[in-house]
Amino acid sequence: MTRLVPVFVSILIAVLLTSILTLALGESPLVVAEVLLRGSIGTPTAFGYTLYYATPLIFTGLAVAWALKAGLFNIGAEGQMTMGGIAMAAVGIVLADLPGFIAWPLAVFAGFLAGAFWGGMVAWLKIRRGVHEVLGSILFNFISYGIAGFVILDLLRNHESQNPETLPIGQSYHLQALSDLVGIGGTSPLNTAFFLALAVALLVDVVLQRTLFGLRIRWTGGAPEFARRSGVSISATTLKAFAISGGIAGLAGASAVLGYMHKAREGFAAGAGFVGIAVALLGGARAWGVVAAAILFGGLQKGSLDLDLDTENISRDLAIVVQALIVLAVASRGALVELWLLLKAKYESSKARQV
Amino acid sequence: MQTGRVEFQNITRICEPSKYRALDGVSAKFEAGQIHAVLGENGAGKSTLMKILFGLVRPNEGTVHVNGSVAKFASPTDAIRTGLGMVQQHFSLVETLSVIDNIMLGHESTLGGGRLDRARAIQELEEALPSEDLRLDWNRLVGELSIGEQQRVEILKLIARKAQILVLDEPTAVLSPREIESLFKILKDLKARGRTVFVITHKLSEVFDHCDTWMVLRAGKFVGSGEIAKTTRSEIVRAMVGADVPPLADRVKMQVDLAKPAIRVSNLSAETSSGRLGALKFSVHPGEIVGIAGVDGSGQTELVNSLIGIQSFSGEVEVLGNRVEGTFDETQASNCLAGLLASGLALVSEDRHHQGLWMDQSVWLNANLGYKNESWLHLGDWATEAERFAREYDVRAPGLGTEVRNLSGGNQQKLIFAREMMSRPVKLLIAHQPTRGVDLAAVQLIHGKILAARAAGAAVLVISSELDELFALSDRLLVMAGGVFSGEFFREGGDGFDRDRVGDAMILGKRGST
Amino acid sequence: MDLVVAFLESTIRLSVPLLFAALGGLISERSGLANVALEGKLLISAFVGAAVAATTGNPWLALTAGVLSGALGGWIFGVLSVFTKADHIVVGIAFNMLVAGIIPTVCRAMFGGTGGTPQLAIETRMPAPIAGDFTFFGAALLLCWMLHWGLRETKWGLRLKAAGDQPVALIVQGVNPNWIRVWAGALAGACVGFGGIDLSMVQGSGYIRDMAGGRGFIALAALILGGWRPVPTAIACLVFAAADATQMLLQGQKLFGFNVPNSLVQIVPYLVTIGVLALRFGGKGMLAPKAINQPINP
Repeated sequence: MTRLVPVFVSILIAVLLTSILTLALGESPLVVAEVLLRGSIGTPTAFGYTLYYATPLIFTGLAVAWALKAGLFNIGAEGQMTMGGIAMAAVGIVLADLPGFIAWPLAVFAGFLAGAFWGGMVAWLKIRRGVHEVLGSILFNFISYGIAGFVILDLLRNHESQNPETLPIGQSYHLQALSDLVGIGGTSPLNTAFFLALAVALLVDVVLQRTLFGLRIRWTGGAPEFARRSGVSISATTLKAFAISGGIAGLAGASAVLGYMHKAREGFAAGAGFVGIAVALLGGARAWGVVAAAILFGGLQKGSLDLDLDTENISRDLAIVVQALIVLAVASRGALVELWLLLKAKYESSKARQV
Repeated sequence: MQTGRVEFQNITRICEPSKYRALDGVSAKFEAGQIHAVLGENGAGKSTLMKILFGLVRPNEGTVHVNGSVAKFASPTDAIRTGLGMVQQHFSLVETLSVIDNIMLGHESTLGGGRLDRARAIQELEEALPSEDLRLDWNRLVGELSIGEQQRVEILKLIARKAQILVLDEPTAVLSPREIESLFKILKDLKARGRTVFVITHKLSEVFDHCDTWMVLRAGKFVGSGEIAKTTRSEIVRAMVGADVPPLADRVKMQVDLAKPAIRVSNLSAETSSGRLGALKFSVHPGEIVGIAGVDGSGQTELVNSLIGIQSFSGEVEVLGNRVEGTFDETQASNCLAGLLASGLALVSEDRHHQGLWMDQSVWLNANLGYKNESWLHLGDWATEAERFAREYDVRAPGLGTEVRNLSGGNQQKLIFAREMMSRPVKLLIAHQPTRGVDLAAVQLIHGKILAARAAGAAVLVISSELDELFALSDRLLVMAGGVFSGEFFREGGDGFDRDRVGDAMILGKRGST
Repeated sequence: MDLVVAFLESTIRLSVPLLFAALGGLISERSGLANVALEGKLLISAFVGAAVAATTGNPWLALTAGVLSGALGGWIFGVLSVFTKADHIVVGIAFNMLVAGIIPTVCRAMFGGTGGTPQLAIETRMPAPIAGDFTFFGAALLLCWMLHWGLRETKWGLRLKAAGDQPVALIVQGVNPNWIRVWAGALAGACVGFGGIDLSMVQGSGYIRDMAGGRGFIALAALILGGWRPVPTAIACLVFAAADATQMLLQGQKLFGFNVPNSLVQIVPYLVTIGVLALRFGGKGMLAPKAINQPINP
């Protein structure tokens, strides 16, 4: 339980700072909070949207958290997600007539492979050419936008549509909406990709905690020199870990591409890769933490959409501000704990003096 | 006018949160213009006492007097202003800057506009130079200097700040015997100019050759002090280790099997950024302990890395009957090492914090890492195993779930030895600095276990910079200097282990390489 | 011939924000403050500059405000990275996110829309002698030379390098390297600020959402490629600017009879950056400050 305290304190600090910003912009923090809550959990449909927004964040959050366990910083989840989504759409368009039981699993697998390839290249550049993975990931993000633009606007473009989007994928690729399937989520686009995300979260947790493979990944991240001297290949582990991280991020497009739009639209990743970093830093110690953080951030994103309409001066971008502040607060929790211990020691010594 | 008298009165320092008394009511008095030796085992509190003098650590009780008045330094800066300076065991030099830039750093003389006036700094330094042996090429990069020269830069920094009292923490640990001689010549020059010098050490021979007074701390308590001239070596030894001098372990007579060496090396050469090896040839057989002596940085690290195949080299290396490839390929190298470890190689690396332990994980996890190769982990068995290890090797931890970073150095090292020796039958032990920074009881236990492994027929290679340790353990002793073997000594037959001759071999190698 | 001139002009123009960002990043990173927040600082100063110009109509005030906002951003980034002992890269990413969220928020409050500032009238942009392509370029080269000289010959350079390579050496002399890092961060922010102003008030006519377009990250690549030394870093910036200029020339052109899609042409600078990084490394010659991104406990 004590491990959760700094997390809650971090959230509290972020809320406080956001309130100050809101006040400075001439809006009441209470009004903003009310809009956010109503927009995210006010109705079944709103909550369905929250979970829909959370779905890609679970994937990208898991991807970043997984890489962090291996001592790697994957800030390329956005690009991996983009490549994965494009691959899913491409499979769904090119092989549109496959039967249902094989179609969507194949698309999901293609998404995983594309993301894994994208992540694997960054890892390869790190291992073989010494290019830091942070820089490599960022540059690969930009390249993936270009490739996605090429596929969506040129290669597989739907010329009959006004929007920048691809042709529709085959019917057998569609992931079912949960409102149709089990009657939850109101009229939101929440679909079975959410369950896929939960399954991947469970799998990640089991692999990391209970298998030799997961242990070696954590070992390489936590004590690389020790692992090396025990016969673990650091390069191979790095490559595998980063490729799998990329693969998990590659699945993140499933919810939008296979479950809702049934095509790839330009910019479908919508920053989920970057928010995934915040999700992983907030809840990344364990997989269920990632799920919780993703739902929190999903709610924030959904709720903030209404800010554009319901307030004069504040836009949906406030969600990004809150997320950034949470990351900052989480990142500096070491200093927060130190400060707390210092104050406690001061308090105790002053009490001791009184006695 | 002589300044530099130091007096400690009833110094107590309690470590939080363990409430451990690192220093317990220590009082001592030191005259100016002398070289004082501060002696004690690891963890006796000698570094802490000197850090208190220097303002790096504050005492819970007691006062320090410098030149008769109470000194209360809030920070090292205050201490510097009062004329104190300390050379830490780990140097604080900027390797990418020149000698003179390092000396100027923090109190630069400038020409205006922030432009450095290096000429003036050099002139001032040369005027104040207390010993010709301190002279260096002021414009060379510090990273290009030898360890001994870097140490001189540290002393020069103190001279430039006009230090009257100099404290050197374990200054000889990383030096060759020849460099040690030249260091003490410098210290004597400093003394001749009226400066007071404290040398923290645990090496008795230097104390007797060069120092004026001694003081011994044991487990944070003052044990004794006096003038060197009026003391015998055994008096000081008794003061350092306490009444009960630990008994030497029994050495069983072993029949060494020369036919099947556990390590066979011929023509091993390697070159890395940190050093090079030149055409080494040796072997280690079941039932014998081979020691490798030498100053740190003489190629020991490169040798061990070659033996376990984690760096590239040329020549032939065979460990436990397996060929170790010198053309380094990471996948193949890690498979090779994993195979060696599984088939009976026990490896104790020199840097236990990075190379031997995963510091922020539990004792039970660290006890099993590397030797449990089931794909689905049976963590329950791991705890049982860890318990067995801890019992056998007397690893003292509040619980098996304790993070190993919270264990003492001795318990950490015992945990590593337990894991490496008990996970499967051991045929070969490679132990690099097996007892560095470890308390005496742990040293005894580890030495006992090493001798027991030998008695059980394992081959043992011990690499250490502590001659006493090697003399106690080895059947055969190889001296390493400048990347080559410069001497070989045998416990039985020949002249045995002779401290002076081994020391000479360490110097000779140095001469050979330069 | 016209094409060559156009290419060179365009290279020089495109190199200016890269040069300021990379040289600013150099100051920060040599002090040990790893700086992936260059992008955010470019955006802050570009926005603040354009916003001040749009509201006051005074370009000089706008320039000052833009540079100072960069410096303030750098200072805050420094404090957050240094005193919280957090990972500088995490703080840098969060900083970029924060900027990406705050600018549209403030933009909406000030101008009614999140897309950017209103178009700046010609007289509220940088006036002619400054706005010429070569004035800012010249200033960037001057900055490069000053860093090259200052790192070697001044007290300031000495302490900066010590903070980045071996902060303990400063601590034992009673100098707090943490503050050196913070002020290096602020100075870096001021330098990057010139790059931001160049984007919104020299080359552009107002602030457009996300107008830095990854230049902060390419500048970082140039810095690494240049081995954290001013002159090679500047050369790397010019190479990347040339790649970008090529990309712009290629847009809408036919290549070997094919229509090259713009989205593919746009990735040329990033491919060049990756390619050059991959070829440069894997070996020696790197000069990363030894204590970069390492917390200090004085």
